[in-house]
Parts: sequence; C-alpha cells; structure tokens
Amino acid sequence: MEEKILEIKGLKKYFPLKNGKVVKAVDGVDLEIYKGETLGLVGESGSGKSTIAYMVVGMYGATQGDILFEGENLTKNGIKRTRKQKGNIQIVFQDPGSSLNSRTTIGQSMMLPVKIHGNLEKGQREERVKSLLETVGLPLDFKDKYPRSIGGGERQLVSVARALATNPSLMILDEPTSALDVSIQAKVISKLMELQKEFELSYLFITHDLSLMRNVADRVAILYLGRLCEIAPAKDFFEAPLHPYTQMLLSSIPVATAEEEEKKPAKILSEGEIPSPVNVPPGCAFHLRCRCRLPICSQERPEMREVLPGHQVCCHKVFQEMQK
Amino acid sequence: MGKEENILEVRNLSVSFKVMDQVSHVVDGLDFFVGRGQRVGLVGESGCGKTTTLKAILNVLPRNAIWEGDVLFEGKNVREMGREELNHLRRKGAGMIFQDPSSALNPVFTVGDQFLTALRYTYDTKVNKKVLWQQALDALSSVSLPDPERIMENYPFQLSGGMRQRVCIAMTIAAGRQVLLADEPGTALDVTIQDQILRLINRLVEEKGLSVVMVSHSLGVIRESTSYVNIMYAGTIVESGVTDQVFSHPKHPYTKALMACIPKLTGAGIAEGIPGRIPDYLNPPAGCRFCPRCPMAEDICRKQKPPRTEAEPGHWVRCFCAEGVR
Repeated sequence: MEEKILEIKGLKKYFPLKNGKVVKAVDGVDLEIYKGETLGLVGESGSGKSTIAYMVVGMYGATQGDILFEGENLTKNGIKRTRKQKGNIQIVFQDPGSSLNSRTTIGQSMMLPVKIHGNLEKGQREERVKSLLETVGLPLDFKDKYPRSIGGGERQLVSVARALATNPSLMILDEPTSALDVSIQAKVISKLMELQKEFELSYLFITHDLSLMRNVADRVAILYLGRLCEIAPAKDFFEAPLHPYTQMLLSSIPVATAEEEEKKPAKILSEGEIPSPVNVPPGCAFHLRCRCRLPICSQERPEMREVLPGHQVCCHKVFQEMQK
Repeated sequence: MGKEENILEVRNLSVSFKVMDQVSHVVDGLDFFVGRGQRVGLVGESGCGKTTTLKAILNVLPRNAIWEGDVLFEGKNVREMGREELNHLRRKGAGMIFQDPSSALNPVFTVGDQFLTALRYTYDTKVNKKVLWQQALDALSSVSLPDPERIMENYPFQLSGGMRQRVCIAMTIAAGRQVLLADEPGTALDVTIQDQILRLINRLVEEKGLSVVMVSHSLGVIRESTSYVNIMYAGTIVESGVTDQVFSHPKHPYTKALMACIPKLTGAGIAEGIPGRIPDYLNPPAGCRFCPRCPMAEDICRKQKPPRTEAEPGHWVRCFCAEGVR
C-alpha cells in the first residue's frame, strides 16, 4: 500500500453544554489519507465534517483519540503545534468573503504566512507572493486589490494561494466551492486538481455535493452523527453503495441528465431528519431512519469492518448478508 | 395554450435600478407564462435576475426600480392594479417562499402568532381566532408536519430547517393561494430534506391544483420538479421549453456550457467552466448578452438582440447561431 500521510485513530470531540448534556460532534472516527490522494468526506449538516477538519488543522483539541501526520502524533500537546507542523497542514474555508480580511489588500493577506513560514529575506517575500498568485493563475495586479473588488471564484483562488504559502503537503478543503456558481466552481476545481499534481498534495475534500465528490475524490467516507458509515473507493461508493444511509443519500440527489438518473440507486423515499447530536440514538445512529433495520440495530453499535477490498462499512444488515 | 388557462403571464418585462446617478439594466425583455396547475422553472446563476422577476410578479420591487412590460395575473395587469386589487393578489393570489426559512420567520414570536397574523390579513372582515387557529392546524398537517398543536406553540429556533420550510409553505397555502413562488426552496437544506420538500410541493400541485414558479440555480432540482423550464442568463430568458426536451437537447450555447459545467454522478469529469463573467449591468452588451463569453459569437450577435425563435415545436431559443434557428 502507498504511504499514509495522515492517520486518525478513534477521534472524538465532545462539546459540553451548560445543562450538563454533551454534544457528541465526532464520536470515534478512524481515517487514513494516503500521499497524493483526495479523500472525500460527505455528510449532512451537523454530521461533524467540519469538526474533524478543524481538529486536523489544530483549531480544536481532540477530546480523545490521535491524529498522526507522517507518523508524528499531533494531539499529544493539545492544540499546541510547532511552526513546521502548522505549515504542513493548511485549510481553505467555504466562504472566501469572510476568510479574507476585507480591510487589507490581497497582497497583504498573503504576505502574513509568507513572513511567518517562508524563511525568506525581506526583498524576496514580494517575489514569493507574486509567484503564488501566478501558481493559481491570477493576474499579478491582484496584489494591490481588495477582496471586495474581485469575483467569488477569484477570492477562493486567493485563499488557495495563501494556503500554499507554507508549502503544505496536506490541504483541507472545507466546502471550497459551495458558495460559488457552477460555471465558476468548474474553474476552481480544475485549478485545484492541477495544483494537486504539481505539488503532490493530498486533499481532505469536504462537501455535501455528492455529484461534485464523484468527480474529485479517489476515496469517499460518509459521516452520520459524528460516526463513519462507509468508506470506499469513489467508483464503488457511487456504483455499489452498501450502507442504507449512503443509498438513501445517493437516491435523493436531484440530477440534470437522464444518464445519471439511470446510474442512481432506485428511489428510496427519505424519511425523518438527522437527530440532534445531543441525543444520539443507542445502537446504530442511523437505525431510526433506516428502512432495513434489524432488532440488533437499536441495541448494539456496529463496528467498521472491511467487507470488500478497500471497502469498509458499518452496518449489521450488511454483515449478515455478507455472512450468507 | 389559450389565454384563459394561463394564471400568470409575464410579457416583455424589463427592470432597471437607479443606483446613484447610474442605471443598471438587470431584467431585459422577459416573456413567460404559467398555466393553472403547472410547475414552471426559472434557472440561472446568481445575479441573473431570478428573484427580481419574482418580486415584479408581486409588485414589491424597491422604489428605485424602473420597470417596463406587463405582468398579468388571471388576465389583470399587476402594474395597473389599485391598492385593493394588489392586496387581493398578495393575500389570495400568489405567495412566496424563500431560500432561508430561518430568516423568513420572526425569531421572537411563536409559529402560532405569526401564522395567525398572516391568516388574519387574508380576510377582509374580522374572523374568530378559533377558526383561524383550526385553519392553521389543517394547513400544518397538510404539509405532513407531525403534531401541529405543539408546532404552533414553538418558536422557530425550536424547529429544524426542514420543518421551518414546511411551516413557510403551510403559511403560504393556508389562505388558498393559487400560485406558489418558490425562491430556491431547498438550497439551504440537506439533500434528503430538500428531496422531502420538493416531493411535498409536487404533492400539493397534484392535490390542490397549485401553480408553481420554481426558481433555482440547480439544474437537477429544476429537472426533477418542473414540467416547463426557462433558462435565464443575465436578465434574459435564453431558452425555454418542456423540461425534458430542453435538458435532453439543449440548443443555446449558454445552456450547453452550463450543462457541461455541472459535476455528473456518472463521474465523467468536469468541464473547464465558462470563461469570463456575467456582464456589468450598468453597461450591458448591445446585442446578445451572452456574446462576450460565447464560443460561437458572430458579428450580428454583437449588434442585435436575437429574437425569440422556435427552434423546434415548443422549444424556444434566443440565439442567432443555435441549430434549428439558421
């Protein structure tokens, strides 16, 4: 197998509430990201996608569990990390309008990580900013512009360029194109794919748009209420999903062409809504909305098992069928 | 389709806004109609004038708007309506639901309070509160909300996003409105919940004979929830026709490019995107508004606005170069 760049083991994040209850945002997640791959993370809102991302970059400390980057444990000092560790993992947020400072020029915004992580003499820093803009295909005069005077897609590319300033090897893309129109999204995505090849980046790509995920991810992991349901290579995930939740989610995507309609799993009418992470149902978190639940589902939490090569799933029903 | 069957007709609608001492020409010559019990889609990217069009239908455009053309509701021109007729249109005729159901509801009043206020205004005379309350409960159960009594007592923040959107739909249809103007009703929700909301709207169309104008930027949503579609670009309808026909054989270069940009579930990769940006509305192109970004643009496109042409039966395109036009 290829080399692992990031390994997450038994990661948990609990947020205590004032009334003594606990929000289980992430509840025992194991994940690996290999060098140069794109791991897609999907899930409905409130499923804990962003919480995982924030723990990986070190914005949140983990309640329990380990995050290993190239074998080095990042969680042992809480959220304290060395400058090098911080530079290795970078994040691009959903809304470039609020992640760029509206009162500084784009050049100034990009200068900060160059100053801190760049190890460059004063005179060379300006050059570095220019070369970063060039890398993401933006004109050099953008350096003196303010974020409000450029388009949404261009702003997101600026965020990408800024993230590249520290020479990261892992990039976390937290819904990088959800705020953009499709015609702009296409541009940003193709640029991201190009950069991945050029700098041998690994991506943790978070989105709720499954059609987009089909086109960018090598492997896909699906989250429900802070727990993983299924991890599989993208092709298997979309063409032969095993977990009932994956099937329900895929069948609810509105698609624009007839070919896609055929590829979609047969329509499963979605029922109910994602429960609150304060009261996670006992047993399998999904069993209340599941159309093929068994008696065991409400009692015992299923564990993640590899049922096919590279295809892990966490569902009692699937385990039973596989045994037959 | 005969005139009587169309509940809503928009004819040659143009809307401009006065901004400082300049004028921005947003909507430019829009034509479309909605039949009774029909679901009509308006698709386009952000800033193409979809919401402005809906506002024009209800005659709630801001003061700095200058508009030309006609909007006919049941054959009557919305622009010429007096105060009473306008009130009637807004109370009984057409109602709007919004993208973000949490900002559409007032956070400091219970659902019941807001519901009753909304219902009270749909009557000209005073109506007993109990009657209104019952009407609200019926509306809430018709949108498949469990336990309507409890929901009436709740504040919006106690409900989930999907439930809030259902409450908004219930408030709109409770008074027996005939047209639902849905402005991106599922965009702020998760796919499974969006699916539920779209199914609900489709059910209401069948049961109550509601007419729907569905506005969305998602081609997938439009394909699955409308029977007739209008593709918008920069304030113009560039292509319109029966939904299946337009989606299986797009003719306008913009529609084609847009379809190529959407990530597909089949995993065929994503196109490079459409070069350029939507035009500056302060100074839009003189001819076809898409021509600066169009790969097929010719001299005539830069000079003249393309007319609405029937490229094949029931499939209209505004383009000089599309197949079937030349």
